[in-house]
Parts: sequence; C-alpha cells; structure tokens
Amino acid sequence: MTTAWRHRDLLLELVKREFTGRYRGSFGGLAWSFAQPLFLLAVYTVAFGVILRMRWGFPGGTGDYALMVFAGLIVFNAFAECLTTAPWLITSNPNYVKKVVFPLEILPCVTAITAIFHALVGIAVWFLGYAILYGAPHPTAALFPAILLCLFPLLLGANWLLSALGVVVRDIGQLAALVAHAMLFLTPIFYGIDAVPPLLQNVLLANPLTFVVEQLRLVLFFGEMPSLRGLAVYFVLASAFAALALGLFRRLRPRFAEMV
Amino acid sequence: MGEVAIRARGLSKRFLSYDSQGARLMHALSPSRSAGVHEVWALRGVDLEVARGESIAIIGRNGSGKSTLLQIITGTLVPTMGEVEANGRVSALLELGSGFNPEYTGRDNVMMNGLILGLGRDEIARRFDEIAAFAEIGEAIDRPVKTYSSGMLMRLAFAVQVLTDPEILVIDEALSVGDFFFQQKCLGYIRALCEKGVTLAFVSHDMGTVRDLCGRAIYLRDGRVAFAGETSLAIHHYLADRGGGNGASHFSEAAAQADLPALLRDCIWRAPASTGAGRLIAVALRDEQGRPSTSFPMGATMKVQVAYRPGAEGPTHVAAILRNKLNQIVTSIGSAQLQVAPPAPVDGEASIFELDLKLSLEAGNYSLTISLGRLVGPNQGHNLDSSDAIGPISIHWDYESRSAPFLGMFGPPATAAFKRVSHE
Repeated sequence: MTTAWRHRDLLLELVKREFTGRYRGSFGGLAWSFAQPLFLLAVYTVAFGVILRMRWGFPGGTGDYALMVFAGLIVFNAFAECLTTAPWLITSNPNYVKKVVFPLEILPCVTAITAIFHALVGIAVWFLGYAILYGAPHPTAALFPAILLCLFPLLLGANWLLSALGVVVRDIGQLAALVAHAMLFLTPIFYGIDAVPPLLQNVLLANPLTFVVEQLRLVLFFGEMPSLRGLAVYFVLASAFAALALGLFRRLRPRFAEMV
Repeated sequence: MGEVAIRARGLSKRFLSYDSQGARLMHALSPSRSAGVHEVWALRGVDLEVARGESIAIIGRNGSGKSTLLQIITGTLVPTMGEVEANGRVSALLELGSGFNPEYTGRDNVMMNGLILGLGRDEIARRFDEIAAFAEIGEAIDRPVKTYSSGMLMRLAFAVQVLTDPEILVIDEALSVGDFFFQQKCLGYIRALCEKGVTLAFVSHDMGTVRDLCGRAIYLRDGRVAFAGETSLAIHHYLADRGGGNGASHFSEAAAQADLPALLRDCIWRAPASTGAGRLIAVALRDEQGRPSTSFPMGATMKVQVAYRPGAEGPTHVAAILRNKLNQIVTSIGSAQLQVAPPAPVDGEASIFELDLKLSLEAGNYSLTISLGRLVGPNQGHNLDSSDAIGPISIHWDYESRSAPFLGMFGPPATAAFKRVSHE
C-alpha cells in the first residue's frame, strides 16, 4: 500500500484514464457507465421478473424484484469486472513491464478502484429507482460505504492474484471469464438463498460474494442493521487474502519482463 | 567526487525459452525443473562501475548484450545473478516512444510519462512548455500520438526523459531515428547535462558519437566484457573484431610521442601497440575548424591525419579508402595519386600524413580504411599495414530546405555559364 501512496498522482491519473478512456471516441461517453447496468437490469427484470414471474419470499411487485436484483448485480458486476480484466492487465501493457520502470503493483489497484467507482454509480442509480418507487431511503442505507469497503480488499486480492497468474498461465483469462459467468447464477442475485436446495446452499454460502450481496440488501432495501461483526471478520479475511495475493504478485514480478 | 552512480557486480542474465506451455508452467512453479527449458546467456559476469558525472559507452555487435545490460541498469530486467545498484533517478530512452499510449495526445502522454518517472503533477505542468518547445512538434502536441511520425515520437520521448532532471541517463540507440539536426540538438543537450554532473550510459553503433560523448567505453562481446577503458581503444577493439579479427590481442598504452599528443588525444582509431617500422599508429578525423568529427555536411572538407612509422625500405605510400554503405570503394586516394613525396625516414621516428578530402558525395554513411604501403609500380603497392574500417562517417544535407551543390552520388568539379546567343 505504501507503493500505491507513493505513486498516488499516477494512480489517480490512471483511474481517471480508465474512466474516460473506456468510452473515448464513443458518442455516449460517460453516460454508458449509467446506461450499461440499467440496460442489463431491464433485461434481467423482464426475463426473470416478468416472464418467469420470479418473486422474493415476501409480497412485492416487479419493482421490488428489480431493486433486489440490482443490489446484487452491483456487487457482482464489480467482482466480474475485476475477474475479466485482471488476467490481461500485465500482458496487455508490455511497455510498462519491459520499457519503463513502472510500479506494476498499482495496475491491479486501478482496476479495483474503477470497479468500486462503477459500483458507486450503480448505487446512485439504485437510490434513484428507490426514490421513484418508495421515496426517501432507509437511514441504514447510509451504511453502504462500509459494505463496499469490505468488498474492496477482495477485489484487490483477486486482481493481484489473477494479474500475476495471468502472465504465467495465459489460460487464466479464459477460465476467469467462465467463472464470472457461472458466478452470476451461483450468487443469490436473481433468487433468495432460502429458495435453494440445502445442499446447494452451502455452495452459495462459500461464495465470497453472497455475504456482501445479502448485507447490501439488508441496509439498502430492508432498512436493517448489517452484521457488524460479520463485516469486520469479512474485512480481516479479505485483507489477509489481498496480502497473500500481493505477496505472490511480488514474487512473480521479477519474471514478468521475460514472460510478457 | 568519487561517488559511484552505477555499480554492477558479476551481472549475468539468462533468458529461457520453453518447448511447451507445460514446461513453462512447471518451471515457473518450481524453477529446479528444467525439462523442455532452453537457456541463453545474454550477459555473463559483467562488472561495471560508473562514477557520478561520468559518461560511459557500451559498444558491441548486435546481440552482444548491450541492451540487456542497459535494461538491467534501468531496472526493467532483473539479473539472474549478480547485483546492480543505481544511485539516483534513472531516466531511460530504451526504445522509441515506449511508455506512450498511442490513443492519447502528446500532452496526455507527457503527463503520464512524467508521472511514471515519479514526478508530481505540478512539477510536470511547470515544465510542460519547456518540453513541448524542445520537442518542436508544434500543434501536434494535442493530437493522438498514433498520428506521429517516428521522428516526432522520438523527439517527444527524448524531451520528456531529458527535461525531467534525470540523475542517471540511459540511452539505447534511440537517437538514430530523428533527423540529423535534431540529433545534433539532442547530443548538445546531453553533453550539457553531462557537464552538469549527470551520469550517462550510452549505447550506439555510431562510433563518432560514442567518441565525442564518452570518455570511457565498455566493449561487450557475447555477453562478456571484452574490453573496458579509454574510448578510442575500445573502439579499436570493436572495429578490429568486426573486420574479422586481425589479431589485436595484447595491449600496452600506445607510446606517447612528443609531437603527436593532439593527434593521439583526438584519434578515433589507434593501433593496439606501437610496434616497429611500417606500422600505423593512429588516425584522427577533423572538420574544417580542426575539431575531431565523424559527421560532415556535403561538400565539406574532411582532414584525415595519419600517424605512422615509415617502412624500412622504399618510398612509403599512405592512402585513404572510402567505402559506401554497400561496401563499394567510392575512392582510394593517397600520397601516390596526389604525388606528394614522403620525407626521408628517420629511424624509429613517427611521421604524420595529412589528407584533405572534399566530401563531394551523396549524403549517407561511409567507412574509411587507412592503408600504409610501399610503392612497387605506378598503381601497385605492397601493403604493410591497414587500419580497421573506421566509421560511420556520416555526410549529411538538409535536402528539404537547402539547395544541394549537386544531386546524385558524386559531385565532380564543374563550372557552368549561360551564354547569350549572338544573332548576326
């Protein structure tokens, strides 16, 4: 983290570029950041909420279904964005590896920060939707930053791990895309965890996203206090994972130049 | 200041190639497995010490490990064995426009490059105008870098690296891209930086530039240091090897001659050891102002100075053989053709032969070989000694904006006049 701090100007510039660069040359520009999750939400809501008529375990209409799905999607999208980008991070920037002395550790940070930013955009859209349907949000909704904070080390760790491994084994990129796809359905996004057969429930609980999704829905939608102890434990575990991933990244770092 | 800027000990670098992805994976996970792994040593046991403010050149043929060594000094490659330390901020021009993102404008890339070099935003903003002015690319600074010509790219890259206060400057061949006049500007700037105490590590195949910029040179051959020391001697080793190795083996400092010090100081080529009669000692090339140079405008006069020991018998003939890029002899001219008689030889004394050669030749690179011989017929001689091929000697002309004295390969002496037609 000291590396990131030392290069904060560079980090900031890279995040800025990631944001502006993604839609560079497109007519929509930054609006795509909003439009994309909204569009996907509309598709999923029509498919699962309207056509398949899926409902949560409480009485509510399609609007409720959409809000619940969206809260889950925000978390999933952040993670999936990392999963699909990270394996190519180093290999797609050979200049930064071979030609200049570049603090490579911060590239995965950039991706994690960008993902969190996109999640923030998503939450802003979520609040808008909630305001239209129900008006003022619950006071507990103000706690959402704490939940994103717990998610952050998980994203960071995944990025360090995958970007480093992606250099050594190019197949990681393909695999990660598959995993991301599977996780869309193996995370309780379109359904509640209690709607799942007991055997599969364990799989879902082992999914690191499940806890975050549930907590986010708790504060945003249900207006309940999150499990503070749970969040604390989660944060510590995620941080430990990130530290291990960074360790691996640093171990493989000297060999990047020959393998990229 | 005896401070060390770059110190390397026992640097070795091994590159691995793999038969299959599996071998690559196994090797990455446990480096002791070596099935299906092939190794190539780019550097072997290189020692290097560069004092602060010193300029050192690294010369050698393609694939001799020069760029690998620079990359290790810069920090983009990690040595397999040995260690390197660089004390100070390293700025590197390793490859053209590396670290530039082609989609972004020159301005954005300058900012990015500066940040990568570890400068703050304010600092870069403060220097931006200076950088843009040095690069001389005008309005293009706000266009995406992908629209730049290679020359523009090089100029911008050079400006960023050099104007951001490096303490150690590492340059790998990058300068060969720009036009001659920008090269001159860059070299002038580099020299000024060196005088201010910046340490320079320089790789080039242009021996003239190497000689001008660096007091000391390292000659790498197959990843090992074949010679380290005074630049003109290192160049000699390099050129001698290139010519097929006419056995330059042992070295003693060439005996300093009382009447030769200037020539020996400025020489671009020097014989390995001062041996007996009928041998060349050193060759220097000067421009019209008498400065040592290997780069001349078209039509300028190059002064070739040759120090030699006359042969024991017969009149001595000294000739300069100029070859073009295709290794064709453009001219071979010397004392016999110009009908100058050598003075009577004094036993063991060195003589100096001077030849003023007007370079009425097409712009480009040439090489020069000096030969010392004994005349046996009007156009025949018995060769006693030859220098290595010295060069490149570059002849240049700004064809864009200045009218050339001639076009084509050669400008023979000519006069011309318009005459009025007389009507009776």
